[in-house]
Amino acid sequence: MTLDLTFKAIGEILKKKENRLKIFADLYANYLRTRTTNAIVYWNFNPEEFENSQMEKSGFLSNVPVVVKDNILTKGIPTTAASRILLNYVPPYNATAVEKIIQAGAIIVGKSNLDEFGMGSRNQNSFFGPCKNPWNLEYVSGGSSGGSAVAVSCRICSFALGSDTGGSVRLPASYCGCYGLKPTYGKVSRFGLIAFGSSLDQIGVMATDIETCAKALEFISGFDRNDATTVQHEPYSFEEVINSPLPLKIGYLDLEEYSGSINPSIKRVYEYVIEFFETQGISVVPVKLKTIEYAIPCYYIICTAEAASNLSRYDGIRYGWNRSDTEKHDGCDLNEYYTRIRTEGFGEEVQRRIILGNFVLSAGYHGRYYQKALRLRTAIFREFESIFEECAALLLPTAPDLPPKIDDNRRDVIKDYLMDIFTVCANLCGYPALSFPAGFSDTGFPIGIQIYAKQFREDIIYRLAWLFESNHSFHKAVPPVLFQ
Amino acid sequence: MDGKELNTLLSVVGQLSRLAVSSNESLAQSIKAVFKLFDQLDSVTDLPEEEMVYPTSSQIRIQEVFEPENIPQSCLLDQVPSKNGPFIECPLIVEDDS
Repeated sequence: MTLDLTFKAIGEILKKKENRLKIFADLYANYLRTRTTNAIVYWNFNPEEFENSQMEKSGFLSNVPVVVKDNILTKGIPTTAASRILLNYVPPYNATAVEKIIQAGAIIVGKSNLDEFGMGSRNQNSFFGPCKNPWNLEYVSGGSSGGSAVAVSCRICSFALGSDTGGSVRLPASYCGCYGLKPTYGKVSRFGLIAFGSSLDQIGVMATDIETCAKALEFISGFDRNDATTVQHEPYSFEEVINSPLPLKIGYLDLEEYSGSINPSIKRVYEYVIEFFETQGISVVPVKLKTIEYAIPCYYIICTAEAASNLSRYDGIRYGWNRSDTEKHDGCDLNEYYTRIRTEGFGEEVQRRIILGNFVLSAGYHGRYYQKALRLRTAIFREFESIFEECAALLLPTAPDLPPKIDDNRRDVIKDYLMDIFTVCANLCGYPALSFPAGFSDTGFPIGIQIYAKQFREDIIYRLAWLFESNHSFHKAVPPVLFQ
Repeated sequence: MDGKELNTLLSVVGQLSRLAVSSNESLAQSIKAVFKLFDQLDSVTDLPEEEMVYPTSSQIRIQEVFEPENIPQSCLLDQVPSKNGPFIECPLIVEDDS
């Protein structure tokens, strides 16, 4: 059902109870209709209770339906990070971003599927099973915030919270045909986000239009005393931004060197977007990035090192899943117990990353891998900064290829890692980046294109995305699963 | 690093990670493949000396916050990250000691 849940559409409507009941009945119908996607791992909304409770809420997000990725803590609502090791874990407090939207009147309708601990680009590494693409159920939704992207595309919520460590908001947004915005590192508090790579993680927003996406993001942003990496920055007014002058010059990544590895449909859409901005009077110039060639190994060394450290807390004793099957543990010592719990509790991708991380940090290899990656991170940042001295923003494809088929027997880890080639630099450098719906492939899949900007220049991204959205309607397309 | 050396290391790192790696052959094989990807960095030269642990804007703040005189007694000192390394997330439940 083509339910319009954008802020613009529901802003006034939600104030009347009869409208509210109709909208929530429709989104509940959408949820039921799209359950085959496996997007929602915990449904938190009961239409009958809602009708009887006569909820009257006030605030910026009064009665706005929101889906939250299942690695963001929600008080009293199970939060598992799609991992067996956190099965049945119910957090005693809200993440700061969640607390803000609840205080503003939002309704958390569900928790969404993800790759275990956010590790993956397919949303296939989930304890709950893969999240399927609503445009074709045989294909992946993208990861790791696949469930959030599907929930937005299927009009189950106004916006969804996701998390982005190496492209986890932007990649599924591209595959599922919605907006996915990763903010500047430090703009949104990570307090209550289950840590994966602490210097890379950010909570991001997904929505079907740029206005909802931007307003929701600006609302959850700001300094938080519980997260020492947050930075105080005045939120942008969306209305002011879209009436501001356009940037004079932006860059686009020259794909000449990648010509063999870019899907032709993506190349076609990318070239169209470049041409569109040129026709709007913006100077769009090609840019070459020497260091991007090494961005993937650099990113995976850093993120696995941080993951190995962050995930060392899961031991099956303090919280989460543990083995009550004492017979099997009779006689085993504490170390053996930890090993059994962790081997059974973590999925294969998580185990792989923990081991890789401990490896690159180990004595003898620390300098060769981890320290070198940190220095390369500096080099990548400097190269991007030199580009941003000339260009206000940078266009890149979101992914080099279309969504892959769901394949339980796949084991080409390297191929999966390379899908992040155009997204990881924003995390390494702390830049804001948006994937926006920019067209469709010949086979009917949505295609997203990215805009990068300097740190804390989300306004430039909003301005350019608004310009594109005002002249196109790709963001209004509804996936076929809603009509099946 | 040859295959034998890598196998030995995997076994040691598996124990450090509290994971039973040796029982999972496909995991061990995929880790070897990822190391080929990591080894691409061997060809990179002329890198800057500075190591970026955090994206710049936050790095400055983190260093300020974690200067010893700025750490409140109530913060768990054994979980405070070093400036150079990955760390276990410090919950930083900071109380006013004054």
